[in-house]
Amino acid sequence: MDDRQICEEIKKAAEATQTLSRIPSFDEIWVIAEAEVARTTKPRRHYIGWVAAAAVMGLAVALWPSQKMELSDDYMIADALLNLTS
Amino acid sequence: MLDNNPHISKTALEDIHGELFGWSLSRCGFDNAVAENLMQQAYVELLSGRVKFDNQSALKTFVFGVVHNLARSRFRQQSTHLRLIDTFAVEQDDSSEGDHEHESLKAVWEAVESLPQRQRDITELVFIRDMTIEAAAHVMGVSLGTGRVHYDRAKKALAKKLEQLHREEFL
Repeated sequence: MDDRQICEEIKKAAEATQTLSRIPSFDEIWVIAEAEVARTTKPRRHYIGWVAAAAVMGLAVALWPSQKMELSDDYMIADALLNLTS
Repeated sequence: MLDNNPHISKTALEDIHGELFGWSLSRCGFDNAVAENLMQQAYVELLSGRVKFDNQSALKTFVFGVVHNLARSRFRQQSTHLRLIDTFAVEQDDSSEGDHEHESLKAVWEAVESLPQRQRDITELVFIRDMTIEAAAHVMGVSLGTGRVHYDRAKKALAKKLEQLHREEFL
């Protein structure tokens, strides 16, 4: 029995086995896959939003002491300068 | 072209969809629902860019490999379970009478299914999906030399089984 004969017999047998199954259309599966990708990438955008909010909060907290410095009296500033130069 | 996989076009995937579904079916014991799920997972991997096609092989080889790996990793337990159900179902079906040609084709397919897993995979990829031994070995994740050994063994085993089937038919 040569390769071609084996190939033909197996192809026929495979076709007979697989024709029992309905092949879903490409679009049918593709649409679901696209929806799945959209669903799984959404939380990432949400996460980026939270990171941005946290960064703004962090910046506000970091700037807060300098604002306090502006409000402090001359003595505090002079003391700070003395500490730096000593 | 897909956003996350610039070397893959939707039309190219559509062209191999039928063949890919056949491959998915055989990966999960010919269960339609599982095969659809597997195809969907493969398309998700390609759409999201979790697997990247770099044009190093044919698209068909690459996508078949994606389905093969997904089936191995995510559906291993499920497919084994389904194969057991399928085997049981085939055993039950044997009691019903079918036409002679169908019975003979079923016997040929059973001969393919009785091969060890890797020999069965390479038989399917080369004989049914018209791949070269090199491409089939790539899909299976084995070297070309190993692929050739599996192919040669499968061919010899099948030739023996098919000749035996023909002899039984004539008796």
